[in-house]
Amino acid sequence: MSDHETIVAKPPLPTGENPEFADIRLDAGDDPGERMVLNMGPQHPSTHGVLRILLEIDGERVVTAVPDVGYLHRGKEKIGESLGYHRYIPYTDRLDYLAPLANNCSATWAFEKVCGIQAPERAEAIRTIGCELARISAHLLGLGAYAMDVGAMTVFLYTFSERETLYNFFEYLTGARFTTTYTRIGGVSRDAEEGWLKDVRAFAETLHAKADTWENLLTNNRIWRIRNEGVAVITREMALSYGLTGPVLRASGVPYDVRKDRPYGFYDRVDFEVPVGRHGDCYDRYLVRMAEIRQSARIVTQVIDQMPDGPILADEPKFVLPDKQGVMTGMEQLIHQFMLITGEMDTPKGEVHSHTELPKGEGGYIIRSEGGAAPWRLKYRAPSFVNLQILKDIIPGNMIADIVAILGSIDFVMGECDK
Amino acid sequence: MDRVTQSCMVYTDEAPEGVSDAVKTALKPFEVKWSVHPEHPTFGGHGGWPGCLVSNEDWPKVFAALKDEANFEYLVDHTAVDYPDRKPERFTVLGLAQNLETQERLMVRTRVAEGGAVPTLTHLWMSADWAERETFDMFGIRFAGHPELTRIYMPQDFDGWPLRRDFPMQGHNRFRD
Amino acid sequence: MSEVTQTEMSDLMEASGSSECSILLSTVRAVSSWSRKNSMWPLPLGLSCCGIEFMATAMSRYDMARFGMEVARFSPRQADLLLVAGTLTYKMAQVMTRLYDQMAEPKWVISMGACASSGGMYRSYSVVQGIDEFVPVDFYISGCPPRPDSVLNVLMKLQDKIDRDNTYNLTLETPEPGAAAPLEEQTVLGGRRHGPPIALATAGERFVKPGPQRSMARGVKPEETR
Ligand code: SF4
Repeated sequence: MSDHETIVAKPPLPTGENPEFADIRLDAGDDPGERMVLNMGPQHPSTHGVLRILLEIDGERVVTAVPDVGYLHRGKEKIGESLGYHRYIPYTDRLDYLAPLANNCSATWAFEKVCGIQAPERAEAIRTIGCELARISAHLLGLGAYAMDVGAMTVFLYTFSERETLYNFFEYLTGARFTTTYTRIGGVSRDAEEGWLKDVRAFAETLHAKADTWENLLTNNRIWRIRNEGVAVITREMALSYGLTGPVLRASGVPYDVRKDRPYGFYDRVDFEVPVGRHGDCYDRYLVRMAEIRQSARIVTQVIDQMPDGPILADEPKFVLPDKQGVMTGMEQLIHQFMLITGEMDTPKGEVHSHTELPKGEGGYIIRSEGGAAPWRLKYRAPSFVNLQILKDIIPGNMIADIVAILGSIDFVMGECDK
Repeated sequence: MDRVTQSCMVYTDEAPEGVSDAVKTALKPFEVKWSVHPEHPTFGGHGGWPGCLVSNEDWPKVFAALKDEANFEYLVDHTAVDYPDRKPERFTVLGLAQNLETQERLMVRTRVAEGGAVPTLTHLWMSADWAERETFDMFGIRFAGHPELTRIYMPQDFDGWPLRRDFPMQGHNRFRD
Repeated sequence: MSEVTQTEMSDLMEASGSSECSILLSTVRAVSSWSRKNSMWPLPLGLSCCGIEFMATAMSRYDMARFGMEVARFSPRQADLLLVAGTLTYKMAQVMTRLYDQMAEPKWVISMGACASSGGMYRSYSVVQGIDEFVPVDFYISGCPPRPDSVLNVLMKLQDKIDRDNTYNLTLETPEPGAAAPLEEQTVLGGRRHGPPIALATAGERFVKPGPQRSMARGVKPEETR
């Protein structure tokens, strides 16, 4: 080192102890100080879509937060009420567009209740696999986006390459990477091939090792822990009062999971655990999601091991579309399909409530049927919508930079929230 | 579709099978009619949860009783159904509450006429806040006592109630001058 | 640099008397097109599902960085390309036009997916039936959602277009000292105007065709707007 190089002294931190900074307060306390209003969104770099939050800030600290939704309200319920059950299924892809397959299944489970029919075993098993793969892919994106917003770009690259593998699986099974439209009332549209099942099983087995890689990047990363531990604690009471569901609720210590508590599909025949957090902070929500990825992989392996044989569409010609091959070749099936799609379907009257566990929480439908091929009223319970409400309670008191961590840990999708 | 002037739900005085005793005692002080799903079994493989119909004034009290006495600590869902041709009460407001321990759920309904108001549930559950705002936004049903009853999905200056049955799918864009 | 052909280049090399040529001749337009097309900074307006496919385009497998477009800017003031990916609702439309207005010239718009291009499957009361009701669009990508391959394809098409495009305002006039920059009042849809033309270099010649901008969407002539 030559003598005209000097080591630049670090400026002292602005604390109250340094007389130079004596009048800088880090914590305004009760003093209102100078407040300003900051508008966050609806267009912002945080990777979660068009959420807008109005913030009143005092220095770096948030005093009030008012979330504003509705920038993606596409009128899905109205569309469902006018199009009818069969034609509504493609729209369910775009609800939670991080996990289209899980939404397809959720909708068909509800519609099957309306029709009073049951899908065959094999279809239920394939749906269960689909749901869990979708959960993995949704949590992966949630995790990657969360880490990227907090400042760790690498994780996003890792999780996205895994998502691409999952996309390949979806594409092979359903014909589309992303918007799958896979399920049909009374079953699924295509059968899963043996080779596909084998590949998925192999993938599920390697997933544990991969999850270790992601955890290595984050779980004990000092910055990650400092940014997340103790931030935005949600207590059990708050969680219940706000009606939270999914990983956010479970991180607060409530072991409520529809898959376990009111099993549907194939879930009563598989063995899995419901991960639960203890503190209810951002870090716990992250841990719960990581644990859920591993549990989903477990479920997938078990379902594939027990894969039943048989048809994939129920034999209920009053409600179930004929199989596609037949429609392409036979006149009768073509007419049959045409009739069902254009509304010659008479569902029983009544009210149906069907809720399933989606990646973001408990989602499902309340359907009032007055007969006919379309629901009289179709209400979708959007887990993201319900979960987002708590922002106005947990953001105040935190720093502005923590908001992205909080948003990432709640992990919402606006397509679903705004319907 | 034919005009639907009445909802398909049938109501009786007898509580259906599957309603727990805790709920029955909690709801004793109120005038409650239990619903029968006409073509669905109420429980079991398909169909819905048991439901009941209460009067407008009883609506928050029933939920309070459910919450305090029967331990229904969780409001799952909240919405409304519109029957434009039903006189005099056009709307049915629905609230689905749940007991987390026993997994029991109860669908409580009340009816309200156009322009009428239903007492709010926001003092019981925070989740009722946005849920009621959504119902207001979509149907124009007012909730008396709600702290901030404004539109949540549609822009504030939107005119019309999108999920009413007589609202058109398209062609109602009054956003632009 | 399409302007300099191979023969011209070898002529030059001969003229300079050495095979190690360190001079390239070209036109300003070619240079600026070349640099523009290879450093597109997109503003991804990921509104919904298509936004996720856009992310996939930018991420590991498809890697948009190969085209110099990976620097996604979330501030409109630093972006050249508005990439609208997803369903635009009327509530969001005001925000989008505002973003577009804030972007500096020259700017391009890509409408990604059926929803952004035409409303897609949402014929409902709250969805804008195509973003070209509000902003001029250069490219529409079909698909619901478009696969990353087609997004990349369109990005390359856009590069071609920029390469060919000689309609943007490029003036080589020396601004008079003290004179305010000439404001090109060009009204497009909705009464917005484009910013001042870019002044480059100081040569005393002008090879600009100010011409109609690419903002003539849906046959609305500039004069007809309010
Ligand atoms: S085009 Fe399809 S994938 Fe894209 S935003 Fe619209 S619905 Fe979603």
